[in-house]
Amino acid sequence: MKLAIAVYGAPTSSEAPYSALRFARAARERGHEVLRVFFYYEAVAIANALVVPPQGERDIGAEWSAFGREHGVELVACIAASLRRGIVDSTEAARYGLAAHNLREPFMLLGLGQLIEMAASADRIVTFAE
Amino acid sequence: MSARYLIIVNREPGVGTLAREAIDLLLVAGAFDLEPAVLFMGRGVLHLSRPAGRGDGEPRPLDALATYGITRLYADAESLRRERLDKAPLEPPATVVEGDAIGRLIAQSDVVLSA
Repeated sequence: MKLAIAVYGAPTSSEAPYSALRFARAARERGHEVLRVFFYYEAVAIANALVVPPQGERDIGAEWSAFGREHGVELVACIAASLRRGIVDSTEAARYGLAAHNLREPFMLLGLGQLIEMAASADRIVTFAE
Repeated sequence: MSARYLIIVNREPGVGTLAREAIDLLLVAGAFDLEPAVLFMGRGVLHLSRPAGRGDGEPRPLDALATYGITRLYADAESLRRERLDKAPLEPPATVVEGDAIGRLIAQSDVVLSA
């Protein structure tokens, strides 16, 4: 089955990013294809490379990055939601004259249209909202 | 035939960026000519109530839905009762649906997205 995953909940106040990652891993282990994971609302904080969790706490951003690399799954953060929250890639940093960029590898910044498109391409879209 | 989209709005308005981003998702779906149906549930039904003190002529993001071809709006009857909106006019107008009808609405949709 082709799956798409949408994550909305913040990593600092929601289980959504953790639950979504466990679901994605389990889906891959059972032979399902994960087409793309789309992060929206406060979940875009996952894509911030400058977050440093305290020692002993899980680094959910790093775990998502590792999952994306290992399985070749597209990790997409909504560009509008990311810009609102200070998460930019090199292209957007140059566009807005910002001094630095902080998008975590291998995340991409893309528009909401990608969420709509992946919902149509997948057999199922599963949302982790809160 | 193109896929039938249903977008469910649970988020209440008036909580800043999150509420605005929920409406953004609707408008983008409209911009793609998907003509999605929209179901307001939970605190999301508050989108259909004009806040007290707000002028009648003052535009809200939700007022743009028709411009984007989004005209099939539904509101969960139970949520309206819970929020004491069951006797109030809904703005923009939405069809009030009970539990069974919500199930049919979801079953008839090819893609169901939460906003």
